[in-house]
Amino acid sequence: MKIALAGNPNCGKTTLYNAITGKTESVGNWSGVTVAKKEAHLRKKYNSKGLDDIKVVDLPGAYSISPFTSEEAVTRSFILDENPDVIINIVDGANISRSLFFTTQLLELGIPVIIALNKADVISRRGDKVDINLLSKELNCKIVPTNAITGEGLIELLDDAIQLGIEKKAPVKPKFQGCDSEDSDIARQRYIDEIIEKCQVKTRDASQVTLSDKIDRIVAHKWLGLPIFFLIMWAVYSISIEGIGGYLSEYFNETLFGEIVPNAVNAFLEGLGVSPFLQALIVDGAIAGVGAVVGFLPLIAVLFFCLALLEDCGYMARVAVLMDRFFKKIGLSGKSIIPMIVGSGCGVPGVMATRTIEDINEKRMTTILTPFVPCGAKLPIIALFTAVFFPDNAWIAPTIYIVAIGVIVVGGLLLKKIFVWENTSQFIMEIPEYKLPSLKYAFAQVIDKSKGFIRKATTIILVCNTLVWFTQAYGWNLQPVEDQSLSILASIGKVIAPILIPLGFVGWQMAAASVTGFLAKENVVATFAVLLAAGSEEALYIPGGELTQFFTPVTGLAFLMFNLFTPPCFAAIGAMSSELGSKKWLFRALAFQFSVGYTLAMLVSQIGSLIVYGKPTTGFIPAIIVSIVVVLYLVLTIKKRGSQPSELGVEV
Amino acid sequence: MLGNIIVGLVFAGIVIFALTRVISDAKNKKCSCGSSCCGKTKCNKGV
Repeated sequence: MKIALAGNPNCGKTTLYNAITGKTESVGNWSGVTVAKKEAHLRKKYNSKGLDDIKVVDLPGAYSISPFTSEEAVTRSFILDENPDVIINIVDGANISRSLFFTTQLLELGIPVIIALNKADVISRRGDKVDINLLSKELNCKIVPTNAITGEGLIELLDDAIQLGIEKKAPVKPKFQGCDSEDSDIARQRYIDEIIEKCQVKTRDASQVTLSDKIDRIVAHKWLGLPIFFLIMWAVYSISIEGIGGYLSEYFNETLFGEIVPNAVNAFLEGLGVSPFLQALIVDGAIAGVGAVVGFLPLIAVLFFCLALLEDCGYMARVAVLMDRFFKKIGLSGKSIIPMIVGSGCGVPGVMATRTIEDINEKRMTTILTPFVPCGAKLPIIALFTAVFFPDNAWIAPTIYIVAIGVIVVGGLLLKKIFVWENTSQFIMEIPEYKLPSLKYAFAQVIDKSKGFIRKATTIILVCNTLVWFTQAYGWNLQPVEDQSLSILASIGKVIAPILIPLGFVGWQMAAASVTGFLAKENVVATFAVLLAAGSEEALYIPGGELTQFFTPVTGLAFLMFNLFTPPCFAAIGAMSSELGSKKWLFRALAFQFSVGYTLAMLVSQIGSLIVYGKPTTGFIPAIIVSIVVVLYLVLTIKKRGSQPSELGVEV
Repeated sequence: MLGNIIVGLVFAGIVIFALTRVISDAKNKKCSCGSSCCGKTKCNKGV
């Protein structure tokens, strides 16, 4: 049996899905969190009839059966093409009138439907009353009041849903005046309004200023809102990187993976009489690489805990509204901020979240700009470089995120100029009520992200760094090398290294770390850990430590910029390819991202060195040549595009 | 010698297992960054 969960965005479908399947899919207190369907088996607890193989499908939110955005199309095609046995229509208790539009459409499809009146607590908190029996009679459909967070009403809901699925009894189609006319949508809404008038008693005075309104007048204020947002984000990253997250990471890096684990493994392997080669491969390769990444787990955990609290209380939805005004100026809208906030966790779901954007230009632009937001994988690079080069400047790490917002704004302006994009979309977003954030939800988010982080460290990072250790210790003749610069890795790094000279990075090691970083960004840190573990016992991230032989503080900052703002890892590039829909656009996107990251790193390195040390760093002349080429390209392209806007309008 | 063989085989097994997971993730376009990254082959039909 297949049970589909369908309803408006942010009505609680995924929360209900997680409750009845035991999964931990991402949920959020805003619309558009689920952009793809997800399937899982029903938990035994809710399968009172003991049927085999009951699958529950969580569908992206939709306001209507006629799709407007691509994630709504997923819902429509599933319902119409895959014939679920029963549909659980989740109706948002906070917005019954709007939710019933979709409900009445579902009742016309001939598939058994049961309604879950979710967020029942919101109705009672507002003092509103809904006559569920009358509403059920009016719609000719069973209604069960539920609260997906507490689990209230779910057993009854699933019992009835399974029974309906067994009976396969088609619902009675709603009949209303004008249902076959051209204005059927207006007629349908009128019909719903009539039902609501009969069944719902609203005691709340809408003109009354609530506490939520008062808070919004400050945090969503057109001038105060942005500084408040920056301040909050700065505090979040400060707590994560410099506060408790940083403190715990220091212990993980310095003591756990710096001493305890390597010493224990070395002692164990020596006891077994294992050869020094195998011992070094395991300890200096695998453990050093994986440990260097896992050491930053506390940082990631604290960051996601804070972001989950902010999101769950309803603040992030306000940020989308706040940013709309500023994003409009660069051809984006508030809708673009959602993928970017999701992208602060991981670029892949961030890029996938662009599906909620219906305007093709805005969607492409957001897909290209979202990877500029430093994701969780980039956090270890930020933490490492700021700890080594700026130990006394706690403000630098959080400021990197503010720089990222600046890069997105400038990048957006450039994209708009280069491709002559106009934003035609209007941004309408439903603002959820403020609520006390759930610690349970925040911890669930932390566990989910931490599991993903550890999984990545024990798969791709382990494989890459075993390979990195081998290639830095052996030459092409497969004989061990005394000098790392004669190794396989060095010879590969030396081919790429010249590209990095205008950026002031001299050495094959930087090229090797950057290349492995395209497989997974954490590899940048892990590769340095492996390369430096061979020559030093000192922990990688010690202030003024081993990394200073490759970088000055200014070139270190430039290297950080290079790794943050050049194209993301392969997984995110794959997601970009899917969302952009063509290889041509993917190539343009990657070229743009690489140019932005490269140019920014070059400017930081050369101008920064000139200001701080009184002279430019290595590669100044090549940097000038590259700068001239970039400026000429931009001027000529913008001029050309400006004169032929009609020819260059994007294909829809 | 026996220690080398046992440790070598165990380590090789771990690396090969990790590699198969990497290849499987790459095929399914998964990023391993938590449940929010779902397999495209499973969830993007029709898009």
